[in-house]
Amino acid sequence: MIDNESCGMDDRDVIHRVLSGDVNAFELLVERYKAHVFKIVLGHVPREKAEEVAQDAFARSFESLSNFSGKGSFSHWLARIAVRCCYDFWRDHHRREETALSVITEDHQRWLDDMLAAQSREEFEREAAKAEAREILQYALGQLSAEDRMVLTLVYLEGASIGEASDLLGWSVVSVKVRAFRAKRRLRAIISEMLKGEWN
Amino acid sequence: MKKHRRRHTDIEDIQKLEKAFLSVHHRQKEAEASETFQQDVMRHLRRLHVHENGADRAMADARAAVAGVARFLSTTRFVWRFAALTSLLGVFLAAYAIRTGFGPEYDFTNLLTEDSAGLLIARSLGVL
Repeated sequence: MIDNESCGMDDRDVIHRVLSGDVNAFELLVERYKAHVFKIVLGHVPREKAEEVAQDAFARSFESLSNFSGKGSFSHWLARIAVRCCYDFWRDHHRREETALSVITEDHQRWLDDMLAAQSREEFEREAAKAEAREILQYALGQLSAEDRMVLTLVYLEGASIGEASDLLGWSVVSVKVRAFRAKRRLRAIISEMLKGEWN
Repeated sequence: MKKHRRRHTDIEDIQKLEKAFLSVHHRQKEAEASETFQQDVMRHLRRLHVHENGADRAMADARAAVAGVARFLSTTRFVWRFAALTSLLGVFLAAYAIRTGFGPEYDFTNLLTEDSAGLLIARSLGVL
């Protein structure tokens, strides 16, 4: 339960309280940043897994709160943890080979045809809102490795700069740049195969 | 699955699908966490905290036990250091007793009669 006195505290004061042993004070940080973390996580993992990964991000931040230097904002520090939780999620899933959407139906193929035939903005948006659209995106991303998927999502779908992606993932700028280029080329190859009707 | 074949695939189609993916991606992010999310997170963290505290307590108990054992071991080590000396002394005394003959009453009387002052003290104390 969050008391009125705590509501006015800034993040650093709350962190100080948590580190002094007041676990309940952490709820204030969860309250403030749950939407932020959830949005980041939703950008990387499927909706049905997002809460699990977001919870993991809060748990990790709680456990390593003493490592928060206080130089940058807590929100940015938490975002880095959330992105790394998403990466770990895909690494685990890749290891368990649960990545790709296994069933591609006639509906998915029809969606591709309809999307390519869409002429107006309304038609395009209507098609993009369909469940098949989400499934095909998941299928395409599922063909990529965890690393390529994270970089591609951050740089091309989220619009992050190479520097930002490198900071969030904790990888070097060169590594992110090379991986982003390769991942984009790989996605284009996947789309091209899909358009030719060559589903794996 | 039935495979559809297209007559041509050009860069425009690929770009259109990339644009579609971008739109789909941003739509995906519109969902919100469930109402119980915050409570679930806090329940999980409290459990973690209790577990960590329990682990800390167990660690402190273990440390105290280890310190006690170390103390005991250092005490016994101290005792054992004198064991060799004590054994050696025992061997010397036994050898001395065997060589001189073991008669403590005789030796004691002999000591007292040779020392008159000692005899007086022994008498005044009621020993003899």
